[in-house]
Amino acid sequence: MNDRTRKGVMQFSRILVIDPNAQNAKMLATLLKGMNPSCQVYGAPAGAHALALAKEVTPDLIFVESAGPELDGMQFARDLRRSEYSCREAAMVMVSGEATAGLILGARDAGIHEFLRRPYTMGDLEKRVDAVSGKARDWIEAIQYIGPDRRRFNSADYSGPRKRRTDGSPRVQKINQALKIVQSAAGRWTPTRCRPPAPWPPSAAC
Amino acid sequence: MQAARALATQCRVLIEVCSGTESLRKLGAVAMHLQTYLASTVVREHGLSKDQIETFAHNLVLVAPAETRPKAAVAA
Repeated sequence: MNDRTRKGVMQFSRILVIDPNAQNAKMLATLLKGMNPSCQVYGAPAGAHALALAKEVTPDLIFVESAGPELDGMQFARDLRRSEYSCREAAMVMVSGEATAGLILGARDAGIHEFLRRPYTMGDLEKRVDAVSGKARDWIEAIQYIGPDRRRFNSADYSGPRKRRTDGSPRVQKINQALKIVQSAAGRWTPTRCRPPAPWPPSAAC
Repeated sequence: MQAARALATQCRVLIEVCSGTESLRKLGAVAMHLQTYLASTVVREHGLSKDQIETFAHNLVLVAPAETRPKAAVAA
């Protein structure tokens, strides 16, 4: 393990492993403990349990299996990203034995940072940890998507003049982005199912 | 549903960003009103009115500082 990976994995003190297969989860936990003996690894077999655990332990790094009997990895990712938990922006790696283009693109669009194909080597795992611990990607909050910037190789090293009105401060940019999303959401608003209010007092209906 | 969720999230973001800044007090207040409206309407299981939502969105842009407004809104 090189210094960069060692430094990277040290950033993660609480790691959540979501896998219905206990053996796989245990193996991953052992590898992670080998990389950083001081980290705490929590395990959850199903999506609902994982969400509750994530709320409680606020992990910094999450490994999630793509599918299982009571687990849909992408749904879990979307639910966590759209939640109000403090770990909603945590780095997330999807682990799967099946690495089809559809699954990888779906994972990316669900807000997953990295994809790890099983079987994997220690080197593969280190690469994923390197990727999520390196330069942080911008965080995107939109109607259809919440998660890290999906342009993984966008270096963001632009050094030319900044000409946008909102380039001044991060606060201005944040408000501008929020207002754009509010406008867009209001524009595409479709009235929800309209249920008439219940008669009051209730006895009046009888 | 996605739009409602997006609105609720952005209201939270705006309230957080505006807290503690006097010049953004109005924007924070409107965001809080919209958040309350969204929450109370969902709780009461009534339909969310498009007119109301559009009015809130319009008000948010109106009270936001000029440099933070989306470009189209500034031109209007």
